[in-house]
Amino acid sequence: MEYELNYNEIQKEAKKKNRQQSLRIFFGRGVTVKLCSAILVLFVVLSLLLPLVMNLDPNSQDLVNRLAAPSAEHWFGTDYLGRDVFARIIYGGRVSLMVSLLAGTFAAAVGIVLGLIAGFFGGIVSRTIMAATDVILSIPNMVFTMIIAAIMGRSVVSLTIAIGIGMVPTYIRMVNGQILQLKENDYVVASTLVGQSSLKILFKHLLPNAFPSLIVLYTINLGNAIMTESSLSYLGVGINPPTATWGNMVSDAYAYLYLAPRLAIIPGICIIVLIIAFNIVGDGLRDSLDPRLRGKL
Amino acid sequence: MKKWFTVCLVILCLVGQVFAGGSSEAADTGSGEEGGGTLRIGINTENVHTMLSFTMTGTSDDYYYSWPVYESLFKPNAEGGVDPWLLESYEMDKDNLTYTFHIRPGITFSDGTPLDAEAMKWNLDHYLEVGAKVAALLSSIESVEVVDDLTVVLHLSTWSSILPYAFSRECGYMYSPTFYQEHGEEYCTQHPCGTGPFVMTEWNYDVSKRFEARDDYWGGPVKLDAVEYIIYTDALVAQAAMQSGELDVYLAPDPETARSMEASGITIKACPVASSTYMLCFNSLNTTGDDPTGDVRVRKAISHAVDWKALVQAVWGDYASYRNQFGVGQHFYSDSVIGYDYDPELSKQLLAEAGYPNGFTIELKTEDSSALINSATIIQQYLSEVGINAELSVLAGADGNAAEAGWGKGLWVHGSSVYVSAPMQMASMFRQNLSGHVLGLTTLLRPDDVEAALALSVSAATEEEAVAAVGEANRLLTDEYDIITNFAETRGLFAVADYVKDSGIGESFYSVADLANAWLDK
Repeated sequence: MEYELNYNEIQKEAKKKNRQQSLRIFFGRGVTVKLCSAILVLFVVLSLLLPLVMNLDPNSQDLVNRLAAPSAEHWFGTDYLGRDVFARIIYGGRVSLMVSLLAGTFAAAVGIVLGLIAGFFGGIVSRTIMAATDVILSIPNMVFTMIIAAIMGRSVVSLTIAIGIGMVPTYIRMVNGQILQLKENDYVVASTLVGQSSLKILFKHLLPNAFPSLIVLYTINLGNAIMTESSLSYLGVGINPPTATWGNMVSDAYAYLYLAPRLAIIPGICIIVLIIAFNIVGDGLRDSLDPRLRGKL
Repeated sequence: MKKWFTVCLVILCLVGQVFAGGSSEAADTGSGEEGGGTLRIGINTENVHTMLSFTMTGTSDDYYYSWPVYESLFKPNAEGGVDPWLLESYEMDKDNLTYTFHIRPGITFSDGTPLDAEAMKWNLDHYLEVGAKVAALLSSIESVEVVDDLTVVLHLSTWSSILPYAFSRECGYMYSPTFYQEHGEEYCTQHPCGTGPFVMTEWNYDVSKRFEARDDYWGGPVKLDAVEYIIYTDALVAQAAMQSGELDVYLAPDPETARSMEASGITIKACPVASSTYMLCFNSLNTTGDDPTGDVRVRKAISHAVDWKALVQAVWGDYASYRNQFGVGQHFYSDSVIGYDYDPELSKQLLAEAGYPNGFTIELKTEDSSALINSATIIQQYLSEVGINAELSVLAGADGNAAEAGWGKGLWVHGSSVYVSAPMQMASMFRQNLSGHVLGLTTLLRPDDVEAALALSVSAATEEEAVAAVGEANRLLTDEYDIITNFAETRGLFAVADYVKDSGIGESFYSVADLANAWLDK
């Protein structure tokens, strides 16, 4: 009993130490990771909270004041329909972040479950899932997503699902590979021998051990989802107007590149900054969660 | 190190050569009124199907690519009417249901054969057999008779006042019968042989077309050596090409590009005669019986909810005008049409009378073009102010094309090109018993009195009678039933460098130019 107590305390202590070490590694990677983390937090906070405290209407038109320059009233000026560009950036960020989070989460949920099943059970189930994955991966992701988006129509929900489906194969591949590797470990064999159920082994032993890689993939995929959403909106298969997204703001502003370049540059910068931030934070997470790197930093 | 230096030097020299070559080429393209040169025209799309006159469908690209090679029997003028072109004169006889065409003497095709009555009959017969616009425009022609070398008589089954307008478009282009019989149809689709001042010598698909001047042109010496059409699919790249002098003309920029070009010092020519009309169409037929737009009070409420003049100014600026009725130009304009002023209070009152005091949700659809999307977005905003929640859908490609013939419930924002004559266009859009791809075939109401007015406009004995009939049709379509709310007439836009002289581009109507007399002042 005393031994068991000590063991639990040691385990708790080790987990705490691991967490601290991970955070230390994450934030010890230099100013870039800190800056990018701050940017992500800032974008989320601005997108979610600013509309609550400021009177922002992204669709309100002032047809007399079209293409107005930045001013105290309109911080980023107005667009070709007299809409406030700052309000559209904030709301556009909200849509872009929401689409990326929902698509990323949808892809992760479906991909992880299918990957777990394929990796753990093997046989015909695995072959079927992996064959379907290969088929999807054989089609360029943008083309595949465009086809799904075109079939499902132009709305936030259809775009989210289209982007999510396009990302599912990456999760299946990764989880399947991880599980194939992890299930050969002694602790999994031991769990099987002591009669633990497949579900318990999957969710208690295998999935937690695959999490570090999954978190990294999830983070990077959030950036990719924003990129895909912007690309689809730019190509005209995104969300219907007048809903603002950064992608369709860039697309709509293209014709005004000479007259009012800020209309394209501002959302363009937002897209670039957010994608870079997601990627750098993803890299940081990978380093901090990878046990092999812990001793090196 | 030395190697790298040498490689860099060679690359620099090559780059220098390329740029030097470019500028000397540009300098060679023109040299004064009598000195020839090549007119370089930028266009945003390929003419994918055919350059054979009677198989053309009358798209704007058909006309643009036809400028150097084809001429029509009549030519649209800057006043919105048409004048004889390949014809010297013509007579109409409503009692005997005939048109008599007198061909201008001395006209030859680019293969050297003459345009005579037999050649014209051959062309008209071919068009009546396979032409895309026969049903809409030429169905009244019963037969074509050759009277003498230069005289042709058209015998009609019913009177039609729109034939001169119809023959000012692709229906009136003439192709050499000799050339056609020698080479066969397939060859001729890629090798136009018309009466125009140039001959096509090169067609690089999706890249360019080159036309060289004829030395036997019936209209006299051609000033340019050649005309080259170069495809620029991206308007901003075309703008840069105009600024650098690589292009002399850019055809049909959209309003945004035109504004941008004008701001950078490029001259934009807007045709005096408008060529497109924009309207809000309602599901007035309401076959399911549950669409609010089935009630004329709702349609009028929607029309009063929008400040159409502000919309037109926002979307097109000075390149369009507010127009409360279908059509373009002054000729068929009717003062009897009142239209819909911006009056949100009246709109709310009409909605309450129709049983919608709190508004409703409705679909608002349009095709994927910036002018249409911007118009729809503005309409959506105005409707929200009277309590109508319009859900905007943009339909691209085939979806948009299909929806034009029947968009289901709700509203459809539509842009329609109008080829000079309002009766010609309205007869193919708003009459009863139409078939094929017709605007709102399954969604637009087609009342008997509108049908009667349009029938009269086509069969009118005099121009005054036709004008009055069109006015009445427009009054019924707009004020009485509000089947459509017309809001804009837009003009064809062309970016033309200042040194391009006498080209006729953008000076009357979008479908015509005068490349035989064009010259480059540089």
